[in-house]
Amino acid sequence: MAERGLLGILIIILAVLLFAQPDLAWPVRSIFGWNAETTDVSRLREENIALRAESAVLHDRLGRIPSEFQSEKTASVFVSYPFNFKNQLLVSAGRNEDVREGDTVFLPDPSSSTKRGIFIGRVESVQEKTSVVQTVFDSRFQLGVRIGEEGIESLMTGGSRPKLTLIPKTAEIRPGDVVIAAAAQLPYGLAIGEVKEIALATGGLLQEATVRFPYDITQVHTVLLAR
Amino acid sequence: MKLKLPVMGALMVLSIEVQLLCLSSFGWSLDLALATLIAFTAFVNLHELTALTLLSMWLLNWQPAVGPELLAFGLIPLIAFVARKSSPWNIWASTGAFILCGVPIMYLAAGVPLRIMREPQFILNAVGSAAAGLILLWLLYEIVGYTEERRLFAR
Repeated sequence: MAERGLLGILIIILAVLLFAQPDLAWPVRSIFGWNAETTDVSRLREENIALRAESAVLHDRLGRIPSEFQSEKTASVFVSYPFNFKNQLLVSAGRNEDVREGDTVFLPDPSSSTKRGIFIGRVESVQEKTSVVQTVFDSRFQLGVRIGEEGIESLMTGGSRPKLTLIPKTAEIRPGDVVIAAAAQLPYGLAIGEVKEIALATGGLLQEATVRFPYDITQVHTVLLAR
Repeated sequence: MKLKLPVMGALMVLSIEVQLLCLSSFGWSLDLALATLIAFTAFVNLHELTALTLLSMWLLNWQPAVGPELLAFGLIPLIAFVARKSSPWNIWASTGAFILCGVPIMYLAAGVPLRIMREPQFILNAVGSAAAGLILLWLLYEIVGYTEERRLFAR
């Protein structure tokens, strides 16, 4: 009987925690090493990300940095999506900070004059103090892009290994070609990554390519949100 | 076994940790947390299952509000618990079937496109999760020594 009573109390406590205080679990996750707080190693890795992004010559090659954004704010990453096939980050800026759905999300790049690094996703939903970011690794993510200096059109589809699809068979793309955003809802010319491996698509009429990203999404602790 | 619930709570936390570590290391993981909860339905009563489900939902939640996939994640084991009572299959078959059905239902609730569910990676995920659930079922039987229904090999 006493055991039942204790179990009932435990259920009530867990229900209250789940529905009223979900944010208390986020530090618990970091205790277990999930989305661990920034360490020297991860700080170095972040610096390395900025340097790798720079060395990929994405900014220089483009020369088409988007026009100024109306607003920019930096946010920390709290937790990430815990299942497969979707890739979302919960970040520490929301309606209170004037974040809106569809805002563009970058890695911050302190070495760049614009402070904007690589495009990593879009704001999917906004709460009072937090926002959910859909990253390019989400299986629902799709974006019109251009490849290389010739600006070959392609459709990038998200997933654990994002792909560049619908590339004409005759198009000459090479590993290392820069991939930039070319969708109406985004400023033109945002750097995304570079072409990794190229193959013929099923049917043999089109080409597909995988994308190399100069960062590890699981190690991202800070993002820049812009509109 | 008095330590049944703490042992299962620890196993639950362990499976969540392995799932999240795999996701952060490889970008992909079996749905171990869901498979574990469904395997637990053979060994616990409804109150114990509710507590374990709420614990895992709290640890897995990544938003200020509980999203549809997390609700599905919590409801699927409870439905499996009820359905198991009237299932014509033995525990092995019903556990495997519940996980095989539960994984796509959870991702449908998450809004994952149907095209993804035809991909080998998704099928591998569902089958792998079912296999992991069955291995856990066997392990739990070794630890706990009996099931709630006492018919591990019957029917």
